[in-house]
Amino acid sequence: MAEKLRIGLASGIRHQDDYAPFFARHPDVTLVGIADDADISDEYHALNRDLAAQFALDYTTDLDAFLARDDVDAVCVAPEYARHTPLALRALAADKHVLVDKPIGITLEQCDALIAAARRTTRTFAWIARIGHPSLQRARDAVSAGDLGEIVNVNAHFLATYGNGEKWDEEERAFFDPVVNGGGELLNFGLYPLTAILNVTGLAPTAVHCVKGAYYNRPHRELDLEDMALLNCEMESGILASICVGRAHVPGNLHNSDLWLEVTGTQGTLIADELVPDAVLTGATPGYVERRYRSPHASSGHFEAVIDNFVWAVQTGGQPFLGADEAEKVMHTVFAAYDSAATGEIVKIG
Amino acid sequence: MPDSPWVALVGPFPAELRPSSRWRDRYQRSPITIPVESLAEALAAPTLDSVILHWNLPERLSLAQRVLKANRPLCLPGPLTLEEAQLLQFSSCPPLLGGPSSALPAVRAMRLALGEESTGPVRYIAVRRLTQPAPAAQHYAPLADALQTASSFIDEDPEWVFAQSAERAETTTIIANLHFPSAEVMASWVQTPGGPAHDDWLLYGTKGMVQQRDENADHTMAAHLFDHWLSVRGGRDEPLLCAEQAVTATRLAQAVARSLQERRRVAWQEVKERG
Repeated sequence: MAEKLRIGLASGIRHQDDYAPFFARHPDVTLVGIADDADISDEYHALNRDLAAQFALDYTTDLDAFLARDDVDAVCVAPEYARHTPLALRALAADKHVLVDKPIGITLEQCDALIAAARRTTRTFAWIARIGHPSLQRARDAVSAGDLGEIVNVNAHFLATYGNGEKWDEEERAFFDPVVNGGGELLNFGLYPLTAILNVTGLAPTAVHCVKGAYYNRPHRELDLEDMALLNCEMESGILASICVGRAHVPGNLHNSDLWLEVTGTQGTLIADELVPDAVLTGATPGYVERRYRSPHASSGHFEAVIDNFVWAVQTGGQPFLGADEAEKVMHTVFAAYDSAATGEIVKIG
Repeated sequence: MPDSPWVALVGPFPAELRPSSRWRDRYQRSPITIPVESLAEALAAPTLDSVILHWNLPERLSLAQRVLKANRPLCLPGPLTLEEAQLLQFSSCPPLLGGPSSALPAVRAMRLALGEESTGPVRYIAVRRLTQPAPAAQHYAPLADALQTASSFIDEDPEWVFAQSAERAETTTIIANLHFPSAEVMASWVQTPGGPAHDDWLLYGTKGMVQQRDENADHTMAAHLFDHWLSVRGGRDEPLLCAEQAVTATRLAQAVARSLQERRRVAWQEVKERG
């Protein structure tokens, strides 16, 4: 492998324009180009060309030829959700290291196919979720150090604050279309708190109860999609976790969205909040004590840290934050939650 | 209303409980908390204004009967047992009752913040109550109280209740969902020695959100309730709590218990019909 990791972008649609700047400025990365299939829409071709121009990259419509190039070490797959799995499978089949955007698939079958392929490859497979924020990483450190004692309860919350409300623009239909996205906000955002819990505590759900609906936004009502879901999870250690996830129409904070995680242990309660860089542990015995886990920087670059972790994993052969095992635990929970919401029952996972 | 009304607090109220400063001059002259054994003597005293019976009193029903028989105003906070509800149905002296959390500053602040122009209709309420472990856990009272208070922000009847519990490392956790046609409530009650004790409230409407915290709420809500009761007795405040809400809280407690036992959603209609 060349000294720098040579990364190609498999499609420049959707979130790729969020991630491309991180690759472009990463000291250990060279962006090689953008590739997509020829048979996508003219609108998508235009978006790909725009992103390529922005970073002075070549754009090719022969994705297979691009994936066969020797000067492409790794591929970032981040177009509209329905193509995550097929493009990632093609990149793995071409023997590339793969970083795929969330969700890794829009059906359980897609996810399982990609997880199986990821387990077969000798290359690095990783996926992007919202776990890189300094406060979450400090929380992870605190839990790992045993500062909370035994974990007895977890509560996580992610309600994006930029929902449409009653605004409905037909042109936005494609953005919410379940054919493109696979589902509503449970699929889109549910993996954020689940991944944060897994990353910070090491715990995954074994069973889930879920209720979901369209509470805030007309597009979700029109398309029969959920914009909020509540999950009660029975966790591996026998404790409970409560999760709220969704897209509200409420200017709740200065950021557009906020992941908030509360982990209660026998020695206190730890709060990690994306709005602040530090994680804070408070306890009751003796008296009221507070311990602050300070972060060296206040970056809100949740994704930059995950991308940096991917580059590190490829270069060192180390385990990325989020690989096949984590994908299985998280995505199986998401689809079990859908089953629970449909049946009203507690659904076991795995 | 006597000049220095004596409100007797019976039960495990905090020992340091005193009225807020605006009442201090009047109430330092009266005993406030009394043991159960002293209730008869208190009821016989002409200076007694009224009685508040703590929600964790195991013999609260018989004490309530004695207070009502003595024709004294009664404050009966917290979810009622079925027997208590039946007793009060036939009481000629209407008691003030309901969830003690209604009187907490965070809850009152949320109630003030609600409105068509500020929050819009409520769509989601999360309440998280961390307390020290207490023997009353089996009554689900703090959880049902939180659910009842949350439901008072929503102008609909609930459709079902779902609850799960876990025991781990001297900690009891109960999580309950209260589902409405257009809104959801998620309440969790964690009784843990690790603490800290607090109530967190998060309310999302279609236009705005409210977030409030009461530090050490399980300890201070008795004082806030007491203050509220004194204001009501003095004619300076309207009751936040009513019998209907207390019955709702009782049904919520029953629904939580049934859901925990049967590991299923319990329809609100089913609870009403059985109760």
